[in-house]
Parts: sequence; C-alpha cells; structure tokens
Amino acid sequence: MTHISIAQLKKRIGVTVGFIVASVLGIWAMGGIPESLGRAGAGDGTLPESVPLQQSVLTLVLCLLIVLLTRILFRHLDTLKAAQDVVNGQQAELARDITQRKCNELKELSRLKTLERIATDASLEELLFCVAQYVEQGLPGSLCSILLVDESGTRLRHGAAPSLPDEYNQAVDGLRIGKGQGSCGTAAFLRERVVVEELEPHPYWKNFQPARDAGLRSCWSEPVFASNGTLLGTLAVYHREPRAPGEGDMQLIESAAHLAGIAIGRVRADEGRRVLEEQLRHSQKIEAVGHLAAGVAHDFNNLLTPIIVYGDMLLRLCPEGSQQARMVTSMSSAAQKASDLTQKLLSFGRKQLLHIDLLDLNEVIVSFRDIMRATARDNISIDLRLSPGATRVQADRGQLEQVLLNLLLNAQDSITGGGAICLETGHLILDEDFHRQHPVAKPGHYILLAFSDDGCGMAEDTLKHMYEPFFTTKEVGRGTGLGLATVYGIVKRHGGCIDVKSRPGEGTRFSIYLPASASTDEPIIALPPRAAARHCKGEAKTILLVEDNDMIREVAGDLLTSFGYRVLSAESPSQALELAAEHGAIDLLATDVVMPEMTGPELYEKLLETRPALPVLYISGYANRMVPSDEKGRQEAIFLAKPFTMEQFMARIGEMLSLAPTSERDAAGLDHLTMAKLIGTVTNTATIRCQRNRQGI
Amino acid sequence: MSNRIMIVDDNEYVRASVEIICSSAELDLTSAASGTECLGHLESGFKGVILMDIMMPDMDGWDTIREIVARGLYGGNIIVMLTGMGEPDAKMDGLQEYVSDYMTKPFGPDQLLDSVEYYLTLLNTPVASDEH
Amino acid sequence: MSIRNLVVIGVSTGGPFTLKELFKGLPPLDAAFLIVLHITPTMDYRIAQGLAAVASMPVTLAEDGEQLRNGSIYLAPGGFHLRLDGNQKVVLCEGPRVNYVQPAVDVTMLSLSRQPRGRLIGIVLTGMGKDGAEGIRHVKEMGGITIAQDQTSSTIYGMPKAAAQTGAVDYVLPPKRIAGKLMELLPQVG
Repeated sequence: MTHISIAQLKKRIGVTVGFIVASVLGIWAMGGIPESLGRAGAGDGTLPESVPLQQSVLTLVLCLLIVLLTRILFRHLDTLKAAQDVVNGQQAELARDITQRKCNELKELSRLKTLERIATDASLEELLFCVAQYVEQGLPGSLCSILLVDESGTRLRHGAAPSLPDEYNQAVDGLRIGKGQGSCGTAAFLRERVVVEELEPHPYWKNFQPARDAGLRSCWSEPVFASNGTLLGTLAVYHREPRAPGEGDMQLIESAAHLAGIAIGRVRADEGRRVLEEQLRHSQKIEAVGHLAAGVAHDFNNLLTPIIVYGDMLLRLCPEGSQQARMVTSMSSAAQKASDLTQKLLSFGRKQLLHIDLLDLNEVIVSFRDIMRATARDNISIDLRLSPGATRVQADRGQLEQVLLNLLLNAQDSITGGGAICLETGHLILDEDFHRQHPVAKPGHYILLAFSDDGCGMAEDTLKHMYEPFFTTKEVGRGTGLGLATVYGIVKRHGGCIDVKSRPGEGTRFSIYLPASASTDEPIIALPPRAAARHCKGEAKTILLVEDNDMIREVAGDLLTSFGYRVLSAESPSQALELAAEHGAIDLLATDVVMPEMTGPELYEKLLETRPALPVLYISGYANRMVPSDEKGRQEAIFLAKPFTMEQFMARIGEMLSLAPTSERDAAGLDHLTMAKLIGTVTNTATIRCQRNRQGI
Repeated sequence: MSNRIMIVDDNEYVRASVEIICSSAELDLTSAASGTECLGHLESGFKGVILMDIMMPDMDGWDTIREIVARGLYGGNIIVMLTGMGEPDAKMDGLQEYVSDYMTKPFGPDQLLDSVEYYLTLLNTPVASDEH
Repeated sequence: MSIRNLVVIGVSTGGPFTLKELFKGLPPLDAAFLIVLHITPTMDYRIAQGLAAVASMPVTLAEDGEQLRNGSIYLAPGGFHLRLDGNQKVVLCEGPRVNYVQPAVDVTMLSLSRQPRGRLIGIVLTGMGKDGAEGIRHVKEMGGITIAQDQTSSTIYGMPKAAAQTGAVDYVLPPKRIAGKLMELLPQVG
C-alpha cells in the first residue's frame, strides 16, 4: 500500500463525499426516479408529480449526516496529523542530533588520528598536513594554512596548506610578523586571534594580489603557541566567500591550533634531542681523540728528549761552524719543532671540547673585566661600551675569555706608553651585501664584539698574514704569534666571522660577528631611561628613512618606531620624495648612499630645496668608498658605515636630533666618529682626541 | 757535599739522556726505572735531587712520593717532577710541599743542569741542627 | 716600633726558583716581607738560606712570637700554619691542612687586618691548587694591593689563576715586573 499523507487522504475523502452528496442532491433535484419512467412512457406529455416531501427531507438529512460524519472524520484525521507531526518533529530532531553526534564523532576521530600521528615519528610536514586536513574536514569549504615562525622570530614561513595553490603559499612564505601584515602576520604580532570576514576592503589585506588571484575572500587566523607560551606560528582558515566564524568553527580552530602546537613542540623537542645527541657523540669522539692525543704526546715527549739532549751534547763536541755542527743544529731544531707540534696536539685535544652555553656576551665581558684590567698596563684605559640590551650567543665562556685576553695583549703590544682600548657590543643585521663579501656569514641577526685600540695600527702586508700561526711582528721572545690565530679559530668554531680595520699610526679595530641566539621575548635594545622620559613629553620626531635593503629598512624602521619616533619608510628615492611631499615636518633624513634612481646625496639636495634646514645621516655600505663631496663642510653630514649595530644607529639618530647630550661622549676618544674614520669613510667633523704620543713601531 | 741525582723514569731514552747530561757535569747519577726501584735506593740511603716522572706503570710519580713520605724517606731530598704532562692534575693535591719544581719534557741539558745545580746548592746548605 | 709596610707572598711548586728571580736584584725596601711557601720542616731552613744568598735583605725563618721588622724577609716554617697578630706578631699554630697544604697561604692572609699606616701588599705566585685565592680577596678587602703571577712565567699556573679569577687582583705580572712594581710602591731603605 503506497504511503499517503493525511492531507492527501483528506482530499480524496473530501472529493468522494462531495461527489456522493452532489449525486444525491442531483437525484433529489430531479424528483426521484419518476414512476412514469418506470411505467411505460405514456406519451401524454404530462409532467411528473413533485417528489413527496418526506423523501426530500430524508435526502437532505442524509446529506447533512454524510457531511457531518465527514467533518468528524476530518477532525480525527487532523488530530492524527498533529500527532504525526509531533512524531515527525521529534524524529527530525533526533535525526539532527544523530547527524551532529556523527559529525562530532568524526571530528574527534580525526583529532585522535592526528594526535596518534604526532605520537609517531611522522615528519613535521606530515603532521601539519594532517592538522590542516582536520580543519578542512570539520569546516567544509574552508582552506587551511599553517605558517611557522622562523629562527629570527621576525617572519612566518610556509608550514602546510594542502588545498591552497602553490603560488599563494609562495607569496605568503616569509610574511613579516607585524601589525597589518595580513591576518597571520598581525595575529603573530599581537599573539591574538585575528578574524577578517571580508578581505577586500580590509587594511591588513590591502593590495595583496595573491589572495585575490587565489579567490580567497575571508581569513581567520589563530596564533599557535608552545606549552611554555612561545609563539610557534599561525593557523589560518580561508574561505572563497566572505564569511564570519560561528561558535563551533572557532572551537574547531582552537583545537586545531592546539594540535599544531603539540605537533610542532614534539618535532622541535625531537630535533633538539637529536642535536644534543649529536653533540654528545661528537664531544665523546673528541674526548677520545683528546685521550689518544694525550697518550701519544706523552710518549712523543719522552722520545724527543734524547734527541734534543744528545743533539745538544753532540754540538759541544763538534768544532764550531763545521759541517757536523750544522747537521746537529738542524736535527735539534727539527726535534724542537716536533715538540711544539706535540704541544699543539695536546692543546687541540683539550680545546676542541667546547662547553657551549647560552651566554650574554655583556655579562662575560663584565665578569672578565677585572682580569683584563689587571693584565693591562696602568696607563692604558679600557673602555666598555656595551649594548643596553642583552646580547645572547651560544658560546664557550672560556674560549670567549681567551679571545678577549688575546686581543687585549695584542692591543697592548701595539701601544707604546699610554693609550686607549675600547670594547663594544651591539646588535646587527648582516645583509646580503655583507654575505657576498663574507660567504661564511649568512644574512641574519648577529651580535657584534668590537675591540679597538689607538695603537700603532697594522700595514696592509701585516693584515694579510696576521691570522697565520706563528706569524708575528714582535721581537723574538715577545709574543708567540699564536694569539690572533687562536682568536680566528675560536670565532670560526662559534660560527662567526672576524673583520679587521687598521691604519698605521692610528689604531686597529677588530670586529667579531657572532650569530645571535634567537630569543623572541627580549627586546633587541632596551630604551635608555633618559630617552624614554623625553619621549613621554609627546614630541615625536619624524624621520624619513630611505633604504633599498628590505631587512635593514624594516628592522631599523621598527626600532625607531619602538623608540617613539615617527618613521616615514621608503625603499627608493622616488618613494621618499613622494612621502616627503605628503608629509609636513621632517626632522631627519636617514638614507643609503648608493641606490638606484639617484644617490643619497642627490636625494638630499632635492629635499633641501623645500627643507633647507634638514639634517642628513648617510648609511653607506662598507663596500663603497664613494665620498659625497660636501663643499660647505656642514656639520649635519654624518656617516654610518654598514654593517652598523642597532645601538650605533640609535645613538647616531639620537645625537643628530639632539636628544642625547653631547657630554655623554667620552674623553677616551674612541667614539663613533673616529671609528667611522677608521672604517674608511670620511667625516669632516672635528676629531675628539686627547694628546697622545703615537709613534708607531 | 752531595752531588747525587736520581732519575726515576720508565723510559730508557730519558734515563740515558739524563745520564749523559750528568756525566758531563760530573754529577753522580742513580737510575731507577720505577717507583719501586726509587724507594729501594732511598731505603739504601740515597739523599739528593730526585727527578721524578709522573706517568709510569704500576706506581705513578704521585703514588711514589706518597710512599716516600709515608716511609719517612723524604728528609734530605728535593723532588723535581720531570714530565710530558703540561699541567698537573688534582692527584697532586696534598703533595705541594714535597715538590719543589716541575719541568716538562723535552728539556735541554742546560735547562736541567741549572735547576739541578741550584737544588744541590740548597741541599748542601749546612743546617744548625738536623732536627727541625 | 710597628712596621710601615707589609708584603705577604704565597707560593708553592716552582717557589725556590721564582723567589730567587723576584728577590735577586731587588734593593732593600722599607717593608717586612713574609713568604708562605708550601714546605716541609726538613727543607725550610735550606730554602731560606738559598734565598738569603741572592737577596739584598736578611732572610730568616719566622719564629713564634717574633715581631716582623722592616727591611727583612721571613719564611713561614714548615709544619705549622702562621698567623699574624696586628699585622706584625708571628703566631705559629698547629692544625689540620688547609687547601690540602701546610703552611697555608689563606690562613696567613686571612689573619691580616688593615695596615694603620703604609701599605699592605698581597702576592700569589706559581703553584698548584687554589691556596691563596681567598686570602688575596681578603687582602683586597683590607685595602691592600694585590698581585698575581702571569701564566707565561708560572711554573704551574694553578694558584695565580685561582687568585686572578676572584677578580680581586690588581696586577698580573711576571716576577721581574713584580719586583719593579714593589720598587714603585715601597720606599727604599738607606
């Protein structure tokens, strides 16, 4: 029997009853079945007699009865329908509940599967893929992308995005962490969820063509944290239509971000463990070599003894100047060299064992200061100019102290009589240009350790050989010639590089760059209290920063902003001119010297037309020696040579904007202006030096 | 006047080297190839400058000195370590007052002679009373 | 009559030679010199004699109750620890080894007080171990001038290194330059 709804049933009954009633009424209207018709047609043409009244009433009553009954039936049917509806309603609800539960179960299953995968040794890529899929399953129509914070802590790198097009993933790879850098960049910066329901008009997504190309219309980004609160990356959900997240959606995303955090945390922990294991294995190997070396060295020393002793005795027996004497002398000197080599082997075994710790370079210098002070002559001043912020590196303390001591002794030896030594630390960004000149130094965040003296300096020839072991310009008996070679070796072993600038008669500056140890929590530079106080007054100075190197421009710009300056940032001179035209007062122009379109000085000239009193700070790449000729000898023309530390940069800016009182400049004489001179740029400001006797050796 | 030197070293070449140096300076050398032999000589009445190697099989230099002190044989001697090891390790702790000098191998004859002769001078200093 | 200047020297292995180098050529100075050398009772007299042969000032073994005098060098005897009372009177005491040694430099230096007039100088020379590090720190606290031998010239660079690492050392020098520094800081006699 086919299923008929009650409504249909009612209709059919209604039609049937109506038909019956109509038929009955119709028959009644025609006067019943005429007798005349039953009898043979009389043909007399008389009309039948009207239907008797009794019949009529009965018929009407019958009709009414049928209608009434039908109505009662209909009412019952209605009740039945109502009941049916209730049941249906419940059934529908039940069905919905079941679907919902099934959905939740699926989500939970997916989540458990993901966790399971995390517990295995799947790669990070696979895990993130899994998490992204988990999100896309739970939110049909969504496209999920996970980005990871890079080592420097300043950018986001592609992690996993199973459904997004490759071009888009490439476009966001390297996204800077900062306010306004899309949903993810901002979420990472603020460490908070950022929901953009519609990308098109939103300022964070302004002009981001790849999003348009990929057809993405909304993006919700959730930051991913490690269990200790460190920011690991972001998890973003895109849709192809503008959309706001529902309650359940955000729960899903939070859960996914949590999973991603666990996954990344586990993989990193594993990596960390692997690295430690590797280091342990390596140090065990080195220890073994050390033991071997020690054993061998001991035997060697025993065996060399008779050669040297007998050689000496033989020499006494040989006539002076004779051939035998010469032979014996050669033999003895060879044995002596063998002995030296053995010593080196021994110390190699000992020194290779690096105990690397996370150290603050400033703290190492300060604790070693007493020994340096005690070792150096009284009439040599030791000046410490340390970065106000923490300067963290991964290093072996003993080796760092060795570097300091060797450089100190070297500096001391280059100074006759009185003099000055200056130690400086700072943060720098080494860019691609630097990398080209020093392939060892990958671009990135480094800590500078600079050691300068105003001694006799070194000539070009000496500079070429100074790191060679045993190369020494000192007299016999003074200096082993191993000091700088040791320094070089130590710096290399720490993954850093060393640079030296020297002018005979003027002094020497060693610049050591050590990779900074990434720490996203500490600020690079702490705001000096005096400057902070000044800025509270609300006078924000405006700086026009022109630099075509992205990394430097961005970091410098951020730093200036964090110190309370207003920054107009331009990556080209034309952009700079545009910005200048739009804005009012500009207090300082800080610009690169060599740029496409026009040089720094040319840009400065142009700006001087409308702002005659504008001071300028030139940031010049160390590779170029181009000197902008400044005929008027203006005091405002100050140079800062790359690579410069952030501290030097801020100090320069502060000085030029007269925020730092000039009395801060030490009388020790090794200020930045003098250093700039040493570094090879020219400044026409007065040199601030004490009278010194500087006769070179 | 004592001119007695003892070399305690398990390496024959080192012993030979010291021998030739001492004979050229007319010093009386006693040779010992081990700590045990050294003690034997001391028991027999040796008094003078002892050149002591550190790394020897069986009893090393430090153990030998401890044994010398324990047996009351130290008096009248000056001990100079003669070793291939750069710096002494902690095993030397407690023996500082018994070790007057520390020389590394390889050494030259003059270097050795200068030290030895100075220490012999010290040993030959007349003492008011030997119960000190 | 109290001494005006006091120099306390702590030294161990390599001492006899190093002291010879330090005092040879050093003219008589207006200070009392007290040397604490890790030594045995059988050898202390001989070391003192050996030093006396090269030094320009008399060298004697310090005796219990003795008052130190200017222009003289004293050697702490073996078998005891030596304390100074009022920076001048010698007090010998028996007792367990300190820092594994006897006489211990720390015991002597830690017994020093501020020199009422004139200078107090503490010096740590070659030796193994770390005897003298605490002592040198104390000398600095008492307003003294402190010197440690440098690595290159030290027979064993243990004690001078430990002293330097306290941060309380003013000068790190080889023996000849220590002599020079002493001549700078102290007036000559006669």
